[in-house]
Amino acid sequence: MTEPVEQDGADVPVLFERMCALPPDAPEREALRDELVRAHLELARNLARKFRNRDESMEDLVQIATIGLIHAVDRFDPSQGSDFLAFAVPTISGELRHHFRDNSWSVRVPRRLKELNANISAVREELTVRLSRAPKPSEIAAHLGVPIDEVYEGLRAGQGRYGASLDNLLENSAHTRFGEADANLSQAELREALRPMLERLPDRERKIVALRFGSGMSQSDIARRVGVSQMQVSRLLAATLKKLREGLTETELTDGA
Amino acid sequence: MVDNTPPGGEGAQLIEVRTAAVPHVVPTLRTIVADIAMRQDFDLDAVEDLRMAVDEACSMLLPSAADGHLNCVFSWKDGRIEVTVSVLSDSPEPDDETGLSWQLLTALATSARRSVTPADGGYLSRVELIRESEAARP
Repeated sequence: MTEPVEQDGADVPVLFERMCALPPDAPEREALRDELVRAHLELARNLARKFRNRDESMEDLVQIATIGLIHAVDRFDPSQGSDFLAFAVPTISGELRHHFRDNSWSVRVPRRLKELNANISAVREELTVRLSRAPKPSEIAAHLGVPIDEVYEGLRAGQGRYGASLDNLLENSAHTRFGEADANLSQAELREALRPMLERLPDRERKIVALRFGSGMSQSDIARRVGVSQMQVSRLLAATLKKLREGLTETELTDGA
Repeated sequence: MVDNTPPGGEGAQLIEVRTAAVPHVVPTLRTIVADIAMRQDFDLDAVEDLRMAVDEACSMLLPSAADGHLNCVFSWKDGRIEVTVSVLSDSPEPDDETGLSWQLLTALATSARRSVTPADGGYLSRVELIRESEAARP
């Protein structure tokens, strides 16, 4: 499931057309659907990354994003004439947003504290950027204009958000040896392959990709920064990603030969 | 338990917890240290670090607690928190320096030290860790 994207040069619109031309119960439909989902796994992962926070596990987010992607493949109607990415991105983001909205805390915490905790998290991010280090409770209190005791309360309440299993406390931790092969080693190669392609991109496109996936900015933020409309950012991004993906497939083919 | 010098030095505040050496007391100890650090206005990353450091110190010592007791002393003064976790163990050997817990501890604390001293017909195995808030560093 986590293998790098394998696109055997298949064109996404063509796949969709073929799939939609088939009757709903045709057996080949399943294979095409799989192929379409697999071709966009990296997109789901990138979107999941955008929603990453310190507490939610990345694997969980990728799962949720992948479910969103499956919904997107199932619901996409190519006869509407729009690009699949333009449809998939909001569908996947929506799935992730629902997760954050509906997922309740593991310990029941009064609403006031939940809100306080949300405010503190937001300020924490903001101040971390401004100070280039994590803020102190006193700085958070000053920024929010609330008494410091409330900040203490809110921080403590945050501990109730995610439960931890008592069993995993001591499991395998005490005497395991330090150091092992980096789990992301396989990504390194892809990253190296991407670099020259990124360098060849026109300035504006490279900047948009960097802001989107490097700094995790939203499309509207990028739009404001680069001085184009959000729709344009979306289109440029989709086109650039397609270009990069095709490039990667080429390098794989030539290197693998 | 035998303890010679008052940890933290002159004028330090102190909380001492004596408890059973069982894993489910660890979250409580962790919460105590986080609360102290928060009230000492440590930055939030340092609070998390301390929480993890106490976790690691306890998980290092828990398996070797021979009489089923664990002692934990928190002391703090002027942007410096010191935590000493100790158990009475059967063996004079401190455990492996390459263990993950110890590696993590040394990374999380400003300084960490462990010692094994003969005591009460056994050995007092102790982990001391000190964390200073960024402001207290030169």
